[in-house]
Amino acid sequence: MRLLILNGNPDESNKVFDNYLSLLKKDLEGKNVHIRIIYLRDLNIIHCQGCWSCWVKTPGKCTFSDDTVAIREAYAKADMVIFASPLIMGFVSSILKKTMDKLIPLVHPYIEIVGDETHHMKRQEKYPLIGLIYENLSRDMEDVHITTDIFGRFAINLKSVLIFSFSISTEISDVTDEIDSY
Amino acid sequence: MKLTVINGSPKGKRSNTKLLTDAFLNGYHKTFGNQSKEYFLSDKKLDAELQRDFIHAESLLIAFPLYTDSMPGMVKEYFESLENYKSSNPGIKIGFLVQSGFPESYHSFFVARYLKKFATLFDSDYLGTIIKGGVEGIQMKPAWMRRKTLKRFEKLGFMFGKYGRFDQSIIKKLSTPVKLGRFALGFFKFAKIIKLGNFYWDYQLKSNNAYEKRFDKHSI
Repeated sequence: MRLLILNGNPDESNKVFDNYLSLLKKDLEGKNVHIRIIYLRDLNIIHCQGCWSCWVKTPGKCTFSDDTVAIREAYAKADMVIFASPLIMGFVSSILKKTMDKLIPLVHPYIEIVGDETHHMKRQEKYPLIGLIYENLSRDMEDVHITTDIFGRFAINLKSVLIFSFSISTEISDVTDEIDSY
Repeated sequence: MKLTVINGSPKGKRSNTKLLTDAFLNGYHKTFGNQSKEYFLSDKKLDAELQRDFIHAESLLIAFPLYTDSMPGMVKEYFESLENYKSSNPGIKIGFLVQSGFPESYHSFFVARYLKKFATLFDSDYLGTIIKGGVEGIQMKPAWMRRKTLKRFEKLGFMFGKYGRFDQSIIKKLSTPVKLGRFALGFFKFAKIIKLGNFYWDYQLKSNNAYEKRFDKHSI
């Protein structure tokens, strides 16, 4: 299985968060999981400009070349993607959020009915499962519920499902077992 | 009354978001003496100026399009830039506008929960969140079709300019439909079967000579 982790920790000095992901990587390497962690803070990511070129001019392709080109490539090939970030002001970091915005070339502008709602149609053959790993700095559980619910919605629009939402206080082996069960 | 409008659309001055806040401001300025300022997060790095404005603002309207089910990255950046100002302006009035292209407004209710929580971090007076769906393409619609929406925003702005509150009955009308009814759902399903696709997007794809490539897979 190909697992991609998008590490949205903006703060180099927050070793606790990075270490957790490193330990998780180490633990998963014993299993049949090909794992890659991308440190978003080291990359050049420009904001989505809302030009919709990726929908109506060059379908499937963002016309701005920044480091998200490689992220989309890795995303499209992955079987599972974990969005990882400390919760800052109650939600995932802005560097993770702007990366999420740059994933829209992977979906189609056309609308279809999913359940009883309109959602974007798929562009790719397959989409990775989505997981969420967060650090709850404020210790406010409402932040966790709100963020998890938003990721549940985000997953629907990325033609996927949110399969878990784990705090970094979760035992590494529990996260590994969960990932390994797919 | 003084109001600062923060436009969080990456399209800035060309945004659908601005079309809606302009209508709101038209109404707001009908009350004599009301003042307003407008900032565009797409413009440039405004951090220091925005922080200064936040500390002194009487009321704030933060408006943005729904991006991947929440706020655009640049709006989250703005939120984070205010982290050290949580007790700088207690009682500040904060309201939000979230607009999206989806015909039903339900999609935006999740980020609205976040926004309400965000407002409490500042010990603010939370005005509410205006949620409007079906906005994509509004600038291409004939004037008569968008008039009703813009009139409602103008009325909302007028009431706010006069009483300092968001009128909840107008907010409710703007957010309709929260979910699509059976008839509308049937229309979308039917449109897919007969490959009607989507007029709005097809028009743009065709005018860009990209229609044949519309189902291309992601490429680098």
